Amino acid sequence: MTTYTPAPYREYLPELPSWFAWGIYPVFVVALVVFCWLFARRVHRSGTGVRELGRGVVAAVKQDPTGVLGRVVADVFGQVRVRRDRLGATLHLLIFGSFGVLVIGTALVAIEEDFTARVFGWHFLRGGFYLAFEVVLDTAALALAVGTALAMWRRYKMRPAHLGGRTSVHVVYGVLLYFALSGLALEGARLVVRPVDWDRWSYVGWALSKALDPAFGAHAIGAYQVLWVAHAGAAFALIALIPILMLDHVVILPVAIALQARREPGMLTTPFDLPAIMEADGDLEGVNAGVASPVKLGWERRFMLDACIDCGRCEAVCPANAAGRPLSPRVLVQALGSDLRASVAAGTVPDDDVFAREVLTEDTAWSCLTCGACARECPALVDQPGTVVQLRRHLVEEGRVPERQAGVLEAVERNQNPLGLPSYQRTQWAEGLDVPTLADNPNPEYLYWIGCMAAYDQRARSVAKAMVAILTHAGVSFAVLGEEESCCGEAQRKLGDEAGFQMRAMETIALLEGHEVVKVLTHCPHCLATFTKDYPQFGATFEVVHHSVLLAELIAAGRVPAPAASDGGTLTYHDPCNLGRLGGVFDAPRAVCAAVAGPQFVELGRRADASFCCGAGGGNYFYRVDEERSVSSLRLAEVVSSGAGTVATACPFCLGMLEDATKSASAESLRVADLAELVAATLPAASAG
Amino acid sequence: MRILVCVKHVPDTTEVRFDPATAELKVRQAPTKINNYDENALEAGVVLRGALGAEVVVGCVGPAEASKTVKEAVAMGADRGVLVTGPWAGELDAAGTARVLAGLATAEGPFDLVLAGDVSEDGYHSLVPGLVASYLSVPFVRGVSALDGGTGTVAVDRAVDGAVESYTVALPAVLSVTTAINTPRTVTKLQVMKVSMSKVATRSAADVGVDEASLAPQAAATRLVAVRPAATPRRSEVVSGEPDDIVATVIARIDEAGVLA
Repeated sequence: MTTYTPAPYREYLPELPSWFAWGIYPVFVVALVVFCWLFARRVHRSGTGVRELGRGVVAAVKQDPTGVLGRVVADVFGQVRVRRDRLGATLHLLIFGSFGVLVIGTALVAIEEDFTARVFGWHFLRGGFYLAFEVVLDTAALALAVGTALAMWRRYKMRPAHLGGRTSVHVVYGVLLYFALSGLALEGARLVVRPVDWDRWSYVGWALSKALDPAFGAHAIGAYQVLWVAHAGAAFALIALIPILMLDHVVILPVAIALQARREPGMLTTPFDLPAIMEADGDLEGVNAGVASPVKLGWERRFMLDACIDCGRCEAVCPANAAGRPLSPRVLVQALGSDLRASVAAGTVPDDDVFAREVLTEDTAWSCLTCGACARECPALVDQPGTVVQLRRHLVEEGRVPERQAGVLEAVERNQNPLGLPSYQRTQWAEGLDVPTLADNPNPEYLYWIGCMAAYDQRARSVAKAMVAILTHAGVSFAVLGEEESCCGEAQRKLGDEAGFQMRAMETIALLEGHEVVKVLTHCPHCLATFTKDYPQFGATFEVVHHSVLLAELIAAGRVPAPAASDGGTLTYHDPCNLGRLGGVFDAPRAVCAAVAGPQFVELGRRADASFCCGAGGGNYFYRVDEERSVSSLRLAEVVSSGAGTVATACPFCLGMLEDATKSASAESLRVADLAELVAATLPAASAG
Repeated sequence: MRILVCVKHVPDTTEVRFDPATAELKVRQAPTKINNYDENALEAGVVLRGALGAEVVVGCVGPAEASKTVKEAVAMGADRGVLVTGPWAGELDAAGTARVLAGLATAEGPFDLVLAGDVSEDGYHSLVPGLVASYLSVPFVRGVSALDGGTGTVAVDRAVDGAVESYTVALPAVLSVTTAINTPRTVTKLQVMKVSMSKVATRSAADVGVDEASLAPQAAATRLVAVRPAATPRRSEVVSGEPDDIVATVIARIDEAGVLA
């Protein structure tokens, strides 16, 4: 017992042999060595070397230091993606946060005892700071136990279907609980052998000490020593074994995130550059577009597939999965990862592709809507849609294209539109309207790109007509390409016809550059995404503006009236995937909705970058995949439950899908409209045409 | 076994426009492609090669740009292709085309089997395969819906109006196939682009032993002089009333017209 009252502190390693103080360091070093060895083995299973990995991370950081840092900070420390699923977020934050605090707390003790105190004689764990330290650490240990219990409750009691996970996850639960409980017990035992005046600050340890004291009796010191060795020994064992437990994600994911940080959402790989090859009169022999087996992927993408920890966040948000299609992004990545590890372990490159080896079915590859919902959720930044497109490219290259998809590709090739309608009918929508072409207005501010949907689809034509009325009313200088316009090739790229797409991109870029187009206006998010994400890979430099952005500007500037419609009822807005999640345009459409509906604008549950696909993405508008419920009907049900009388969207594909869904769901009283149609309806009768 | 597959370079029928105002068929600006039916012939040849071991040569008569059709056919699995072209190529009638193809078959031959599609999407004459057989003085079966190779002969099925005839045909022979025979494989842009132009030979009429002068439009036996819309007489009548009455009236009208008899 102390006879004086010093500032509160904790005695270092009481009742333990003095050599423990330095003896833990050799053990620590051994643990680190084992860790490094197991980590290298863990990395090698994807066929990647640690050096390669290191160089890759350094290259990524050098290329875009702030970008990589920002991504790592957000996704590792900020847990941005983990936070999206409420229960998953709660338990993960509890475990991650508390574990982090406990590790930092332990490190602080080591730093004080073996560095600042030894070198400078400075003890910083003293007084008020020390007492706060004790409160925080006890709380962290409690949080760790609670978080782990929550995780176990979710996995063993709730059993959400999307939750995957390796066998070692059960071990991890045990380990986490053990650390929390043994740490608290050790704290209690310490307070038994070294009672202090300020022991209540270690509130859990103090409570435990009251219970342990009588239990220990005369063996208190021995019990304390056993607990200490059991706790510290387990800690070193854990450090060593991290790479073979599911906890490996604490080291693998930050690396994966650093490597993938530069990838924009919705950005697909470019397996070859056809324009460049043709320019150089190069040989196409050996040029491969697709991926037959994951082992043939580049090391970064192999590492990415192997980084998946099977958390299932992707599956929980996948529209194809929700509709009962044979696709789960989790299962897809896990299957490819297993196949990759098997190939690497066997040291062979399989002759057959993943489909012939029944790793995946071809229907799985065709089921994806490339909506990007999975990739947005993925804490490992796995690129599931891009992987699907790589598989489709392989199928297309092999000529294994189902009839409907082949029909779409052939239609684009033959008729320059995925609908398969004659190319000469492209300007039919504008018959009887006064729509300026580049011949009428050679230097327009905006080149209005109509896109195949509004040119051919009977329903979508009214979007182009509405835009023409608005632009004319507002006096915006614009022109269309008319007969010269063609297909942007979005369906080709998403369906895996890479060469077809590249040729189309080359032609379209040449067409637009030939007309010295600077600014393209489009109401189609699919064209928008293709122009802004895919075309720049082939040298496109023109700016692209989505009509929702221009509409919001025109309304803000008072160039179109858009008075709040009093009788329109409530209005809601469905975010098109290509515009919102992949294009980052969220505010402009809402500004337009607010202008049209005022306070009668209501949001949907799943909105903005968490929006749910309409069912048309990835070329799916043009073919059907077997499903239990259509993706569009699932989305429509969400719209209906919002109670809105009108659902606005800003994509001709969403427009068509949702409107069709109203018919099959007998929800015809719900009006589906494009933003442009809503705004055009507010124009004075003369200009509304 | 050596197989010649004749393919035609045709305007894309989905892009052919009939201008009702001028009564003009706008074929000229339409994009071009390989004749659909010839894709079945090519697929049959490629399948037969797989079974018997053979060389599959694509033969085409057409304008210089038809080399893209030949290239596509090679991408679909032919070993090589030959295009016979010249200034006369755009204006040939069926007999002229068949003479050049027969010349090609002889010059590049001998061939055991000549395959073609039953019809061409643009002309719909169904004349050329039979004429080629006649110029080559070999047997000809049209409407082939199944094909099996043998030694010195082939076994073929021919579907006609609810019956299937089976023939044994002595080789060499010319066969024209229907779309029922198979589903042609899809080729993608990349596969077509990967075909080396060295696999696509270009020949003149003289190269295949045909006098170019005999192919001039004036020398043609038949000439297309005009196209006009065929008026189909239609009757229309709107029937209204209760559903049951409508059905009765419609059935009565159909009976009267005798269209289902």
